[in-house]
Amino acid sequence: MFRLRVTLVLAFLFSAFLFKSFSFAQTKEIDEIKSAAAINELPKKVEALKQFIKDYPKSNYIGYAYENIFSSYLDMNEIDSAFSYIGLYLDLIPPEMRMNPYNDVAYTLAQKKVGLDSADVYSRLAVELAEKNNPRNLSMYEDTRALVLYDLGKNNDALALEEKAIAGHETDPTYLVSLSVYQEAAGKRTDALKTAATAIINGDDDEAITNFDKWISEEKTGAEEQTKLKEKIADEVLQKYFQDNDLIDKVKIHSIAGVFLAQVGVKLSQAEKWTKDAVASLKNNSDIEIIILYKKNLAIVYARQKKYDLALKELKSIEDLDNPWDFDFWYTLGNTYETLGQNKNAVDSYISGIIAFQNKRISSALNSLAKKEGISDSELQNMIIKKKDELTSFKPGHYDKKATGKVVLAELFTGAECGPCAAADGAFDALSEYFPRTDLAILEYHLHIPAPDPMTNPQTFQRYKFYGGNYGTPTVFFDGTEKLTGGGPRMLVQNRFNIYKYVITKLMDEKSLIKINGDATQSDSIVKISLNVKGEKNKNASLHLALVEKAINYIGGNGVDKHIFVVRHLIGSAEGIDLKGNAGKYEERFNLNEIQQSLTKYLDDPTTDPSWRSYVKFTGWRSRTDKINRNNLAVVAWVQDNSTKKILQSFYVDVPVLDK
Amino acid sequence: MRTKIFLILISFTVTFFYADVTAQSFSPDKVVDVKVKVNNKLSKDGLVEAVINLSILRGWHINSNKPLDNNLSPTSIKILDNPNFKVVKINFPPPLMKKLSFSDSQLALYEGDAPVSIELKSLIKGPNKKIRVEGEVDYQPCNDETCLFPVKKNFSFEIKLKK
Repeated sequence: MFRLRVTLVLAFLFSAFLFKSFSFAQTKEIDEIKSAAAINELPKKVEALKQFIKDYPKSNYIGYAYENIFSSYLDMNEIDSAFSYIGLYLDLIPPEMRMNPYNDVAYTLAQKKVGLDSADVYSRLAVELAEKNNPRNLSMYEDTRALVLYDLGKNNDALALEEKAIAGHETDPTYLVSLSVYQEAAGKRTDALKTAATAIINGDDDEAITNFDKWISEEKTGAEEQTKLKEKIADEVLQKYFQDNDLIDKVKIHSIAGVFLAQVGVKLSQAEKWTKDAVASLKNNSDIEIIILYKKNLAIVYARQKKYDLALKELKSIEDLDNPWDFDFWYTLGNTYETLGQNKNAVDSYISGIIAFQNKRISSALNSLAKKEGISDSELQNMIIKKKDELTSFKPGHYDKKATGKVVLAELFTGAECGPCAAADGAFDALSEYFPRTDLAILEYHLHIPAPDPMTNPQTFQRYKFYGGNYGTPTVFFDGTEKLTGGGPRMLVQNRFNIYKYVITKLMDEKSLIKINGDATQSDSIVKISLNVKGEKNKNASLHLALVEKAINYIGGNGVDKHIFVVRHLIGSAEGIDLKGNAGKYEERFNLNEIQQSLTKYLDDPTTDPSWRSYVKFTGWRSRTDKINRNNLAVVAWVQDNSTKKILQSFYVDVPVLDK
Repeated sequence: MRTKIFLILISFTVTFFYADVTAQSFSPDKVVDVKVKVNNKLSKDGLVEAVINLSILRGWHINSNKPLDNNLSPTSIKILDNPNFKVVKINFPPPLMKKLSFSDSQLALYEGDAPVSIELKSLIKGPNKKIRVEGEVDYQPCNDETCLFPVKKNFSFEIKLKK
C-alpha cells in the first residue's frame, strides 16, 4: 500500500514536472518566434528566423518562418534566395490546403513584379482550389490571378477574370479600381473612365481620382472638351447611383453625389446646393457620423470651388471628431491649409491622415510639401513619431461649465483581452478625468470577449443581455439609447474621447424631470444607500443601483493596466427595482461579504454560468480580481425606462472608506 | 487580392461609425462559413479524407488553432463520436502571423480561408456504404474595431464509401 502511494506520488510529481517543462518550452518557442518577427532589420530578421527553424524544427510556426524569410529576401531583392524558401514553405502544407498560401505568394510576387511565371502557376492553383473548396471567397483569388495576368501583359484575360471577380462586389472601390485599370490596359478607355468614376462615387479617394484625371487629359486635349466628357460620364454614373440607392435617404445620397461631382470637377454649383442642403438638414440630435459626412462633403465642394475659407470652417468644426483613416478629410484639410499658405498646419493635417494607414495621395502631398519647406526625411519621420506620441498621451483637461442637473450615464461593455477595447477604455479614463461625477456617471461591465476576463460577473453579462446581447466589445451606451460600437488602438483614445464627449454634452442639455440625491454609508460589511427620487416617472421606470470598484489594477491581453468603475454588483440585476410609479425614498443595501463570496465562487468556476461559453475551455486566470477593495467603492443609481431603455436620470456617490 | 488588404480596406470603408451599424447586429456565426469537401474514395488502409473549409468573412479574423497567447480561444474542430468511424488526424493550416493595429505583438490568425483536413478510418466494411459525420467548429472573431463572443457552429456531411 505504502509502495503504491509512493509510486503514485512520484508519478504525479513526474507528470507535473513534464507538464511544466512542456509549458516552459512552448512559452520559450512563442517568445522566440515573436521576437524574430519583430526585428525590423531584414538580414537580422532572416538570421533569427533561420535560427528558430533550427531550434524548433517541429514548431507550428515553421511555415510562418519560411514565408517570412521568403518575403524578407524579396524585400532585400535577393530573388533566388527568396525562391528557395517558397518550396520549403509550401511543402509543409498538404496540397488541398494551399489556397491561401498559393494566393499570398502569387500576390507578393505580382506586387513586386518578379517571378511572374511562378505567380501565374500559383494563382491558377489557388483559384482552382477555391472553386473546389468554397466559392465564398473565390473573388479574392480571382482578383489576385487577374493582377498576375495583367502583370504578364495578358490584359484581355485579366479583364475577363476581374469582370467575373467583381460579381457581388459591384460597389467595392478596390475591385472597381482594378477593373478600371484592366479596362484601360485592354484599350477600353470609355469603360475605364466610367468604372473609375464609379469607384470614386463609392468611396475611392486615391487611385481612381488620379487615373480618372490622367485618362481624361489623355483622351481630350481642350479644357472644354474635357469638361464635356467628364459631365457625360458623371451623368451616366449618377443616374445609375440614384437608381441603385433610391430607397435610402435622399439628402445623404445627394450629399455623396455632390462630393462626387466636386471630385471629378464638374457641375460645382449643383454639388454646392446638394451638399449645403445636407448640412442645413442637420439637427442637434443628428447622428455624429452624418454630421461628419455632410460637413466634410460640403468642405470638399468648397475646396474644389476655391472657397478655401469656407472649406476650412467646415473642416475645423469636425476635426476633433474625425478618425485617422478618413483620408478624404485629412487630404482636403491639408490641401486647404496649404493653399491658404498655412504650411505648418498643412503638414500636421497630412501627417494625421497617414498615421494609421498609408495613403498614396496624402503621402505624396506631404512629401512634396516637406521638400518645399526644407523638411528632411528624418525630420519628417520624427514629426510622425511625435504625432503618434501626442495621440497616445493626451491630457483631456477639465469640463468647466456649470452642471445642468442632468447626470449622463455612460456604460461601457469591454474585455481585458479585447485589443480594440484599448481605445474605448482609455477614452473612458479621460472622460472620468474631464467630467465631474455630478455631470457624468460611469460604469464598466467586463465580459469574456474575446477571452476570459476575471472582472466579469454573472450580472455584467445579464446587463449585456438587457441591451440585446448581440454586439461585440467595446460597445458604449450613453443614457441607455445612444449606442456606439467600435474601438481601436491606443492612438485612437483622443478621437474616441472627443466623440464620447460630443454625445455626452448633447445629452447633458436634455432636461430631466427626475432628481436623485442621497448618500452612502459603510459599516460591518454593509454598504447602505439612501436615495430620494423625485419627479415624474412612467410605469416602466425602474431604479437601478450598481456597486462599483473605482479602480482595479489588472493587465489583460490588451495591455490596459487600470480599469475604472468596474461593476461588482447590481441590485435587482439588469432589470433593477420596479419604482411602481412612485417618487420617494429608497433604502438599499449591498452586503459586501455576500458579494465577495459570489465573486469568489464565480472565479472558482465560471463555466456553468450563462456568461461563459460552455465550449470554451477554462484554463485559469492570469490573476484573480475577486477581492473587493472596500476602501475604493462607489454606488451609481439611475432611473431607466426598461421598455425604451432610456435613462432618465443618474446619480453617483462615493462609499465612505472603512474606519481604520 | 491578398487577405491582408481586407483589414485595411474595412478600416476606411467601414469607419468607426459605420461599424456601429454593422457590428451592432452582427452575429459571430456569420463570420465563418463552413463547407466540407469529401474524398469518398477509401484508401487501402480504410481511410477517407475530407477538407472542412472555414471561409472567413472579409475584414474579420479568427484565432488559429494555436494562438500565441494562451488566453485567446483557439479555433478547434471536434468530430462527434460515431461507431462507424474513428478520427485519425485533424490537420490545421499554418497560421497567418501578423501584428494588428491594436496589438503590440504578433498574433497567430486565420483570415480568408482556413481549410482543415480530417482523416477518418471507416469501421464498417464493404463499399457503397454511407457514413454521416457530425462535428463542431469553435472560433472567436475580431476585426480592427470590435471583438465578438466565441461561437460554436455545427456541421455535418456524408461520406459515400467507394473502393
